[in-house]
Amino acid sequence: MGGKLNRYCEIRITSTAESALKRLKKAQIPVYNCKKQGAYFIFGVKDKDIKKAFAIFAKPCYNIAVQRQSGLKSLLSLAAMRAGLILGALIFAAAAYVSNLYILKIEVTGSGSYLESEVVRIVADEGAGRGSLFTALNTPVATGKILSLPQVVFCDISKKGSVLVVDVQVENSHSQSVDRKPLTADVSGKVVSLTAICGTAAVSAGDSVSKGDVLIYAYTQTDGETEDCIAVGYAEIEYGRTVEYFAPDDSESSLKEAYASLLIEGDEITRVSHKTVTEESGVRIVMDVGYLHRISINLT
Amino acid sequence: MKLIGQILNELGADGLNGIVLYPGACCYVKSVKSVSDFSPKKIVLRAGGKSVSIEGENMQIGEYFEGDILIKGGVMAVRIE
Repeated sequence: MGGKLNRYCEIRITSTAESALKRLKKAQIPVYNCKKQGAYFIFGVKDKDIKKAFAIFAKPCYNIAVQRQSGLKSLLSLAAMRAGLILGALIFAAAAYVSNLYILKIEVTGSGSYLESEVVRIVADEGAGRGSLFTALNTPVATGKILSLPQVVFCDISKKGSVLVVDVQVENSHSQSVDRKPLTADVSGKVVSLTAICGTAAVSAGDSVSKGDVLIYAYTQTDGETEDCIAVGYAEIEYGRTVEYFAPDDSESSLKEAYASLLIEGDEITRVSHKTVTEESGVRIVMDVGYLHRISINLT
Repeated sequence: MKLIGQILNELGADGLNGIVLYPGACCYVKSVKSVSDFSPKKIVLRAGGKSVSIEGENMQIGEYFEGDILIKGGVMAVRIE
């Protein structure tokens, strides 16, 4: 009961209860919680009746005074006295509310946090860049795109205040064996195709590359800023070789054997042409071969 | 309440002049003309041309308006003279 707001304004007068109640009844003022306290008679009236009560006890002999204001009036008085503080609190609450509507920071957590740059790019593409509204984020699509990243097995996008938290989990074995180097060409040739899932493509289809050239850099560039990440992607490089095969005679079976010797593990033959040169002890089959070499990084 | 009304009617009681008593808790009196004595132990009212004396402990007037009065506290006795 101690925390309950007082419903009535408590008035104190120097008078007998009998005469005070008589006057209050005559003025048709409802009175509540009347009690005696020494020479004082204390009674409660509603806020709207305070002026009337003061009017009927206007004579100085009654020595009327408000002993305690009603809860509502006390709150209003307190609010009036602390107007600046309350205004400040309201402004703070409003500012906090408004700032909570916006994304001020994006955090990528979990074992897939090394994919941060790519995850940030995906959520930005889906409407949730830094400074944009949380409601603008197309969460299902962003989650789907993050889940399609290599080795990602779990993704949860949540909001904590003004921070967008993206929890990304990858397969345990992969999170411990991430290659943080860029993808480099291990053969010289012509780039047929290149897909950079994470990182920045250094070349494009049709470019010629030499062995050791970077194909996908392990960083991303957003608005002129460079951020480290892992390179994830793959490339197909076409390269040519001239291969010679010695056979005892110029026959169909010799040509088949010559072609069979061209097979190089992992690489696909895209074209073959040959010419036969007659030697003293047989023939030399000179073949011009095109191979398609696939190379990838951080993909299983 | 309908039954009480019927009984009061048959007895010729005036429903406007009534006293409801909850011993030790409160007392409600209708048609009070005035309060002629007031203290925590005794409250005397003028009601229905009679003097109603209410005795008890730590009594106070909970509400008084338009002739209806609610006396709160340890009401122990009501005497009508």
